[in-house]
Amino acid sequence: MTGLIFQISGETLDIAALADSLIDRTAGAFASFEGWVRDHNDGRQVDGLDYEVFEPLALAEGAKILEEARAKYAVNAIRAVHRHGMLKIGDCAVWVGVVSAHRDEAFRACRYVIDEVKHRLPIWKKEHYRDGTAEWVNCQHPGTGHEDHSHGDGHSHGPAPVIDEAEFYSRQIRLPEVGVAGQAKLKAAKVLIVGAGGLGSPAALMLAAAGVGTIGIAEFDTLEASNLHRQVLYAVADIGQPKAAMAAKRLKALNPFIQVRLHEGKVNAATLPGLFADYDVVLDCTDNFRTKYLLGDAAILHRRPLVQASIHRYEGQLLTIDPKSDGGCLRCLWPEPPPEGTVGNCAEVGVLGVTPGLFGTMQASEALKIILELPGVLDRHLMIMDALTLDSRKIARRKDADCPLCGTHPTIHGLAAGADADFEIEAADIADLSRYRIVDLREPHEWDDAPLPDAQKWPFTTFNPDAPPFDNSQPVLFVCAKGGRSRNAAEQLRLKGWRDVFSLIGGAAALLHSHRQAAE
Amino acid sequence: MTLPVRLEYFALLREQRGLAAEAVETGAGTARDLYRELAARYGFTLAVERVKVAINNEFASWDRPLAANDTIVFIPPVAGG
Repeated sequence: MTGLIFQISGETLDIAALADSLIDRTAGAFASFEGWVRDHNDGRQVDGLDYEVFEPLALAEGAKILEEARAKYAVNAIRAVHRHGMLKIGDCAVWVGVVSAHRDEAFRACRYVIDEVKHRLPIWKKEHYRDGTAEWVNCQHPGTGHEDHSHGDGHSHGPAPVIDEAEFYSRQIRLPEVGVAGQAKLKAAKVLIVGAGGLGSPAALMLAAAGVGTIGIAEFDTLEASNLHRQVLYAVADIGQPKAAMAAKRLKALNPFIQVRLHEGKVNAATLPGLFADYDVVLDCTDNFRTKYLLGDAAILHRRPLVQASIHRYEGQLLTIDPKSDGGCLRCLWPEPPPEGTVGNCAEVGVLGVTPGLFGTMQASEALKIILELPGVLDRHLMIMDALTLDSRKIARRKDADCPLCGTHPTIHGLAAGADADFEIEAADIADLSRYRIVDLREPHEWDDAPLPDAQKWPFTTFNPDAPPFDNSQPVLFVCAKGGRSRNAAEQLRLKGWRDVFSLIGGAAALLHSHRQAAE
Repeated sequence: MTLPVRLEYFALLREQRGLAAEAVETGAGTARDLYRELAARYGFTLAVERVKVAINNEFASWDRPLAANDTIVFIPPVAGG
């Protein structure tokens, strides 16, 4: 039993020896595949091929592919070898051999391995033509897929024009700091984008275009018309659709050489540890303090670099939290989030689409610098910029010894479970609305946006958890514009011992929408 | 005795002050005293604990004594996306 062996070799492959190494008395089938160097490509006469491999990544990814194939097809053993260096016409460039009890699994596993090797390995080839010229070409073809192809990202391989991966990236491979090795690092990298809105849209597009091999999209929302002026991932036809799926479709259309994974649940204390473990870099493209602090905490507690951007009308700020750096974290600057509703969000204060556009693009830039190990990562500064004046500042920051998260005597040792609590409810999940005392926390100027004439008014600016203008004879449902202030109010009352206090996700508009649907 | 300093306001504070930057003469000894004066004068809604101050492109303690020609930036947290 030889198990799984994946190798990169600079020597001519000894096919007979490779096949012999797999001999197994318990196996009833042996299937193998050989990839040869042929004498033409795209109508040009080819003399030979030069393979360049980014070996550490190729070996790790190759081993992973063999494990997947064994798990999928329950075969006895798999061996695969890919060549690097100069090859002549007729040379064997890649060999895959599989032994199993029966022929069916052997064929299928063999096919799976060669397809995935072609699709995923960081290998580039340079074709030398008979006319004396040479060109880097791809080893990967979008559109090739084996039966029951699934990466769990819901994408499908439709017919696509055959394009050349090396050409796709040729302008950035040409940068000496990137090169073939840098492009291979990008391909092997996994970046999670939390929030596919105004910041997440440009960030996702730029990272997909740059060839980040795996992009995760964490987004639970559906697209609204009012998103489109800044959320450039989407089109009018996507209105009403789940944003994560629409984002994946757009990114795969832009770059078929990448994988897109969807995470359509809300991120919270339960899901973040797993997500942070699965990705190399995380971008915080969210629009509320609660999630920003949760992500900031996760970056330190779960040891992943996090690029955070936040905007306010025409201004924005950017910082990278690197748990390995002495630049500190979000809580070193502002130990606690401000009370919800005191600083304002896009829905309340308005935003010009280019502001998140600029900052989301800068977040992508930070992620690329981290992956490519380029200098200038913003792990020891906060950058602030005004899109109107183009004034910007980089402000030096250092870890605060008194920081409750990353200081010398931290008091925060786990992610806040608040976001998990079940006091945030969806309008659609409310069976009997008349059971609740509905309390509208919006300010008077917001009332007309989504009128709730029967709700009790308690503008958040007058909110005081010690003096609610109602008793606890009836469950309370707090409503605001989006769900931020209502969550804050419900939390504060619960801290005071109130039990039946809830916050409506999506605010007054969600309540009216659900009313209308119930009426129809 | 007063010191000439340059003040810059970010996000919400810019809106509440009504301008982005100004040069002032201040008698305040520290950034904290200065912020409190400004907060009282212009109705800033954020308490000093909710705001960060940067002096000459470096985050600074609120208790750091001010010096002539310091550039002082008041930065509240923002969360838009």
